[in-house]
Amino acid sequence: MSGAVRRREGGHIDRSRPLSFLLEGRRLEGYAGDTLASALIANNIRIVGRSFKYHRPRGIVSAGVEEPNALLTIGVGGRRIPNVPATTTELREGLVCERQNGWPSVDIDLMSFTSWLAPLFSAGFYYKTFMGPRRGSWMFYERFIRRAAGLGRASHLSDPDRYDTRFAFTDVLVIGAGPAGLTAALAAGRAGARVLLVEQDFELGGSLLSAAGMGPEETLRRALTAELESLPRVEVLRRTTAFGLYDGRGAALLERSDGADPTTAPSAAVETVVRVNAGAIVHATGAIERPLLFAENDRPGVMLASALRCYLHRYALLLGKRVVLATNNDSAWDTAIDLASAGAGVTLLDERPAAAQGLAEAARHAGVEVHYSAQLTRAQGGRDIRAAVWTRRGSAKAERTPCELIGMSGGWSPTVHLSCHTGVRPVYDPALACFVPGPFAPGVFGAGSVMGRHGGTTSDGHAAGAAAARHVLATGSAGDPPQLAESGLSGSAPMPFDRAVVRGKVFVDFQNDVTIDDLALAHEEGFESVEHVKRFTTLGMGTDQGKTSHFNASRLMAGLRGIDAQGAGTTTYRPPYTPVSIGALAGRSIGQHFRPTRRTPMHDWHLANGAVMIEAGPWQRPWFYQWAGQDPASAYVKEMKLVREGVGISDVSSLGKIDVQGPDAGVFLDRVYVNGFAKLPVGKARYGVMLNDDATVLDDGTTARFGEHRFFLTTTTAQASEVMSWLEFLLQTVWPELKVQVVSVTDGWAGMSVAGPKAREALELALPGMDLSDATLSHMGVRETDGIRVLRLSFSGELAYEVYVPADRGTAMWTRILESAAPLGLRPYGLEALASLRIEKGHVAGLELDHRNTLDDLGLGKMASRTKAYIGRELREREELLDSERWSLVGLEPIEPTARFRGGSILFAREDPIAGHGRGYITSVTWSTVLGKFIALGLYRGGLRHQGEEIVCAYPLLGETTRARIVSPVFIDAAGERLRA
Amino acid sequence: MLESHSALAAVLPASGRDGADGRRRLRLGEAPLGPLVQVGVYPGGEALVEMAARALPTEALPVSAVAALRLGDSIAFRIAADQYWIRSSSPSLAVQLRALLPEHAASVTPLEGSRTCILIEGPAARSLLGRLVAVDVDPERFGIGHFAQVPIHHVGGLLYRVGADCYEFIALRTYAASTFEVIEDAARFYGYDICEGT
Repeated sequence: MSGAVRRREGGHIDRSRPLSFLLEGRRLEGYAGDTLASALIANNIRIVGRSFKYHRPRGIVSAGVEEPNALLTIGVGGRRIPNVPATTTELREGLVCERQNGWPSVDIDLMSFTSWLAPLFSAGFYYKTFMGPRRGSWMFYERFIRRAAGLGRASHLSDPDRYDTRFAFTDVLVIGAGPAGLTAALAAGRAGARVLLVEQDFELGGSLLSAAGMGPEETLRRALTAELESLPRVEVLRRTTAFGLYDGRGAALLERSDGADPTTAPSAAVETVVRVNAGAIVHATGAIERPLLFAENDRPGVMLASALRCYLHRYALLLGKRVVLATNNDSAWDTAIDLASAGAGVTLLDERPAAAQGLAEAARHAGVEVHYSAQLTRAQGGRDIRAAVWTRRGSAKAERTPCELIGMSGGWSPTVHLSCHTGVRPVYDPALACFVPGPFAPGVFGAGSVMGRHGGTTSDGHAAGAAAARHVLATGSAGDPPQLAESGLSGSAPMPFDRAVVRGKVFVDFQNDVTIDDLALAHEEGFESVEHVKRFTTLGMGTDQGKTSHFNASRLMAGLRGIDAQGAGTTTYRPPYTPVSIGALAGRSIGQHFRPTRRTPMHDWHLANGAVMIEAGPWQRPWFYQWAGQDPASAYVKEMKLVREGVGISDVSSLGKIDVQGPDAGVFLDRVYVNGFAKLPVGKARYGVMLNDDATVLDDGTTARFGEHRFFLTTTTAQASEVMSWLEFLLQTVWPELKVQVVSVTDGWAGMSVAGPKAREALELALPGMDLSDATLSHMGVRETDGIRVLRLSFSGELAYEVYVPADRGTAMWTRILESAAPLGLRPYGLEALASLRIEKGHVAGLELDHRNTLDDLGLGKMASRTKAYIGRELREREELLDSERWSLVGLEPIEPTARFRGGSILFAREDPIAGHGRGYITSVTWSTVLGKFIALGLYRGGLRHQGEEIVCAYPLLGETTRARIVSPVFIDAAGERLRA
Repeated sequence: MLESHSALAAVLPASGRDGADGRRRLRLGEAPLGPLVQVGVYPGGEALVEMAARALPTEALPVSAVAALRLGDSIAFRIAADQYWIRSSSPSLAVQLRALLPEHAASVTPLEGSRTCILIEGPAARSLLGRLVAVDVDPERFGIGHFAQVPIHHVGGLLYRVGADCYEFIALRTYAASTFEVIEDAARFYGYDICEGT
């Protein structure tokens, strides 16, 4: 066996820039311009991996993105990436790689014994084996199968590289920079359009790169590239894959860096997802060659014919001295002629009875031995190819031709994947024997071999580019199309597959080890739909997404079902076209940028003064302060005590705040709230509840009236956005005639609650010019002076005031209050204490307002007006909502004073078995500084009708039960004397 | 008088940094927002507001939803069919507008406390914005004086082109620090200096 030979001249490699790389620790050499695949070939690495199921040795099959076998792990540590196709990996200095799926190595793989067990591992074996001896046995076997499954292994280390996302807008997006794409981009660019040309390869040219030497193809490629790069409104992105197309001519691209060392430029991204909005799109994605179906067609040394030509002309590699090419179309003839001209001994087997006269003459002149009506039936060899076995049509005699390399060409499948992403199914063209794109939407065009056209691609591209530019600009001249004499290749003429002629293991999907017998089995078991066959056999489910297997599978299934290929169809092609790393999809939205955060105006002060913060939705809020302790469980108790006995200050800026103005503002609020607001006096506030349409509680809050037509509405923190959206929806669609404007001012006001028996004294010290006496500012009164708003209202049950100032003055007011009232012992308290104080007072909050509960469930039924209309009023009367056995709000005290409750505990009557859903659950729990024990709020079937009864609180997760008594949910100051002080 | 505290105080770097190529192609910072007021027109109030608009700092209200109306240092944006933002250096802008616009025709809501103005300027400004906003900032499509209501990192704001390579992003105040951090992170590739806008 001679092995691959690097030619001294030619190719698109740069011999002045040698590169070295490591394969499993072994240093190998290549050149700039090589891919990892071409470099491996140059170093005569023939086995590049082991197959998925059977661990058969596998070699490189292709030269492009369709590669099913040469998947290697690239990189080390946190930069380690498994399953990377070597055919699309640009060789770089110092690249580290290893082959996959062999133990202890790919060259000597002990797991290859699974090949002998192949009959056990046919398609669908998961569903039939490993099911016994008992129910649940699968879960025992699964971990072994999982360990044996897969190809590469991902790293569990953090990825140190940077990824990015960006947006791009263009008039014409051209996908693919082969001859059709280059000319399309040029036509559109000359016409004055903004053009974005994307090419997944690091070189432009596509099939032009596989042409010999400095011929007309290379001349054209250079000319097109040079002119494109000179046009200021044309952007060319190499190393960029269009991986998805979306409605409205949106596209997603994956842009890969040019290989700059990420450690020297840490702010440069290694991959960027580009979201494109295009005025028009031109598909110039080319076509992928199909394998032929013959026995042992997966052996190392069996490759696509076009790949042999690509390696010869682009990478200056002659892969073997003795080559057999098998084909059913014209394209492999160019390969045969070029290989023979390069010095290889070539035998060409064409399944057809004849070929074009010009090709036959050229082949004869080059010394190619040609056989017509010849079908390749078997590749002989194991880790290497030794011979090709073939028959003539109508003859039973097997011919044998010794060789070291087999090139196969089963025709060409247009790369229709992207065209299908927006739901357009491909259409089978029987004349071309391939699927072509279905009808394009307006503004979308196709050019070149993606349309099934293998000749005239430059004029085709020019026409598509010009049409795309006209679609967007309506004017502009695209100039004349470039001329390139291209061979008019015919479509393929695939022979019907005859199992009697081709015996042995015939692979359809190389990556997932799917054979024709698997397809036959799927058919036998009743899986007829191509989608079912895919899932049953796993055909097309590998990283290559069946790029080399889909057509052959469709053809075989059609044959089994006795229908045509259109009837068999294809599976649904969805994004991504090729794998996209999670890092690229995440872009910069990782770590602290994973999601946006919201900070109150006093945020910086909190951090500087011992606050321990907690996330409350997007907000960062003080959870507790370290003056009260290091441990939240004890700190909040101390903070509660401060409020109950002295005075505390809490940051309530996160509450939703909505400015409601207009002559109809009162009417509007009357309709939205269950209680009345139209007659609320100026200078007063009122607690209100609003319902959803279905009469469940949407939100509660306090609304203050600062003028005849001006209201200041507050909401809970969690529901602020939803309430604002709801109000806007009502004004825009339900009551557009109302003279009302609503504006979210949540961000505009800093809010702070000063609460406790000494709250008035504290505020009088801080705001000496403001009369805060009870006579002047009674409970639920409001005052606005010099931009400072003071609302006397209480969430804690103590005397309390909410002070609002413009947000940028929040820190100044906060510190003023703290400093002024320091002699009273005023200190800050956090969210934990805030949320606990209200439990003692029996105020409902988010844990109770969970969109399942009604006003009556929460003990607020008496608030609702009986005279006015409001949202939710009618559906409140539904029978199931009036059922007296619905759960409703209760308070709970433990029978044993030292017992504790757990939030979420399920409530049972004393005589109930502790099982199932019980009669309710605990919604909120706190230690009560007033009562000296744990208390809880809960929802219990029948509610306070059971006041005084003993019940059981069960917490099954920990196997705990606690005896409790049902009490009023208002644990302290039922008469409200404290807050009215 | 209570002291003002910037929402970016803790996140604005003390100094800039070089980009991937060693250069600094951006200037970032907080630009003075000045008084900002939202005017909402009630149904049926359009004619009255239009008449009163002649006395506005911009002498009219904009019709376009993409181009601001600028007169002197006053700018008006049409942010919805019935809503406008008016920006001016006059400290009593809200009071002036309340006096000007009939109470039964339009609402006036001061907004400057609820927004922070982030400056993005420099030769790489558009390239940076391409990483942040789904808006075509090609200078032929997004001219000087144009604006777009658009999110950065999921949070809505208003992007305004002030000059050739100068943009302002008016962000919600409580999100401003987070928004600036995202902008700064994206700007590292280009390099930036920290400055105040004009």
